[in-house]
Amino acid sequence: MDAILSQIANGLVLGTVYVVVALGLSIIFGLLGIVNFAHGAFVALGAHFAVSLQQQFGWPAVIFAPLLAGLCGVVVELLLIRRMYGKEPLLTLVLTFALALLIEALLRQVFGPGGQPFQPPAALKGFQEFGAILITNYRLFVLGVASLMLVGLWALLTFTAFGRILRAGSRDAEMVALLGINMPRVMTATFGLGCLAAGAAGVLAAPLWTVTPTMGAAAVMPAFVIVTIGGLGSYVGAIIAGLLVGVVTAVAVQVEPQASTAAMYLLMVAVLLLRPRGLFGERWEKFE
Amino acid sequence: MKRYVYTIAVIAAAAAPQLAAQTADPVKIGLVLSKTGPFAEPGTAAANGAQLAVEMAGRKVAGRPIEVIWLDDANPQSSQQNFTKLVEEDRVAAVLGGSNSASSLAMAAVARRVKVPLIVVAGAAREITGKECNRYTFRTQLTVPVGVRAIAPLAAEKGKKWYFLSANYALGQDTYSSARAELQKVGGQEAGQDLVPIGTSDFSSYILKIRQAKPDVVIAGMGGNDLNNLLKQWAEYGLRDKMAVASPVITDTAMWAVGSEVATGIYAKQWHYSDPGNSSAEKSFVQTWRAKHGKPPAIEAWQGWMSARMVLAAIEQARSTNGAAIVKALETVKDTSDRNPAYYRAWDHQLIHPLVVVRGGSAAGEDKFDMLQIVRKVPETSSELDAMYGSPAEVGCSLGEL
Repeated sequence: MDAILSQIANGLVLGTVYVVVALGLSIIFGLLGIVNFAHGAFVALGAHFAVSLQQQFGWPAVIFAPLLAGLCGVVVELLLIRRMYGKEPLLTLVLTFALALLIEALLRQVFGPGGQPFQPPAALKGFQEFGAILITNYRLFVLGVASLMLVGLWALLTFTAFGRILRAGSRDAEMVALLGINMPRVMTATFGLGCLAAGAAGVLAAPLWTVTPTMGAAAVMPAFVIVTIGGLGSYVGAIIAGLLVGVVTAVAVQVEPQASTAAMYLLMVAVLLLRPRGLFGERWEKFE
Repeated sequence: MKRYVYTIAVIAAAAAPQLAAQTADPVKIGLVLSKTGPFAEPGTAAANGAQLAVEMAGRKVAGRPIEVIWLDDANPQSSQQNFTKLVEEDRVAAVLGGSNSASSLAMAAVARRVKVPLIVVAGAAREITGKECNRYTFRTQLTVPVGVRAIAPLAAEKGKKWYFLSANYALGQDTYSSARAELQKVGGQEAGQDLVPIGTSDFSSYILKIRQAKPDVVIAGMGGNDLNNLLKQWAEYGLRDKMAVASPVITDTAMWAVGSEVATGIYAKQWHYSDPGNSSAEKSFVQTWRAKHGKPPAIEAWQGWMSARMVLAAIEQARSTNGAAIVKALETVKDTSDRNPAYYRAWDHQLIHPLVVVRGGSAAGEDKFDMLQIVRKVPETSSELDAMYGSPAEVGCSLGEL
């Protein structure tokens, strides 16, 4: 029982990293209707920016890594993604997939194909034990930062004008544009915001996982599963699904490790059988 | 009539330079090694190693210039296609290739059919020179059982309670079965066993399990990013100085990817660049490599270099680019310079070469890349060398006809 309890706590922490990746994906899909296969590449981009900034300017500079990833997102939207709105979904899949390969190749050119060593700062080394539960200090830090980000993003979407436009635009972009709002600019900002979230997840994951050009692929598969389980475009859904996936994976390792990767897919199948729209999925006119 | 004479004259004119050039036709060596994907780093290192062997030979073999053609090994199917392309379109004399066991086995089947020698650079599955061996396939990489036998005594010194953490594919399963057999020999106890899905990025849940099982040693049957992630989180959970990790294979790039603060473990390695026992040719290889690439050669670079060196020696000896002739020469070529003999064993085509057992740790000296410290050379006497790579009964290879 202790073992399971310990795994559940561990899975919750892991889940928060997945949630940050999944939320970016969810926001982009919600407003732009784009399934962004390049999302994982932005995770890798954020991690590599963090490594470079830390080496050049020290730890405080690392905070700019997600912003740089977001900026890359803005550029990509202006040059490429913008042409895809309202087009056939297959086209955007092909485009974003190619984009993922391109970013990976660029990272390989600049940093080489191997991993970059990156450790948590000295102040966050060590671990804490609470009864049966053991969590490393860095993972507690990740939990804290990720929670702050989730609250911040929620506040942004709920209380600001940008958030209201984004939410309204997600349901009916044409109507919002008719009201005199500059939708193209909002869409650029949204894609940038989603990529910023991906970059932030990359920065948080960099001291945990090996920083390589291909690291995004491992982070983005759970994110797709989470968005599907939570319901496409749902904020609360992504959070709850992310934590669920983290816990289910961790407990599967305790019980049947071979199946630990498959566990989240089984969860997805079960949820989709009971609720085809996902846990918090609603009926969205534009996707019907 | 006039027209016939004219035609003949044209044909003769076209053929003449070819006749003249025939003696100086380049000998083509094909490479099928990963340029992209998860094996890009070892693949590129091996290819650069092979290129350097060619350069060190003065770009000439048997009096003819050498041309190297490098194609990608993206997956087993594409490796087969590229192997066939090299043979049919470029008419290569031999191919060095295989960035992993799956591609190696796929290409070995083609090599047998088209009768062009394949030298497997990096594929550890025992089948390549075991059950699935054939007359046209050679292998430079050391096999899992050999690596396990080399590290077992040092691991047993740390304690006889072992936990097996194995990536769920050939490498992991091979490591588990070989290491468990070694553990039984020394009368040890199995603390637990987990098969880990390949490509796992977070090992925290496994580490929590291992902490509860309290083993003395964790036998990690995994490579690439899987091992890197494990080592990184091993340090994060404060286990680096408390519990030993051991693995039958290691690449230097794994240490470079995790960094000096994290590097740990007990490993078997065919060769290490800072080994004072290296031959003079190897020392000059290291020197040239460092001057060219700005860092020391990883084990894959040596594997590529060694494979190319052996093939060039065989072509030199055979004075021919005929596949069967090269195979026969490769079966007899022996590099006995200095203390480390290297040769492909005639009955299973496995490269026989002494190993070093190394221990990972922080880079101590001036060389910030050197995080692997040599503990001992295995075997201690060269008379045990052949036996260490297994007897015919253990290996189970029958090569077949040319």
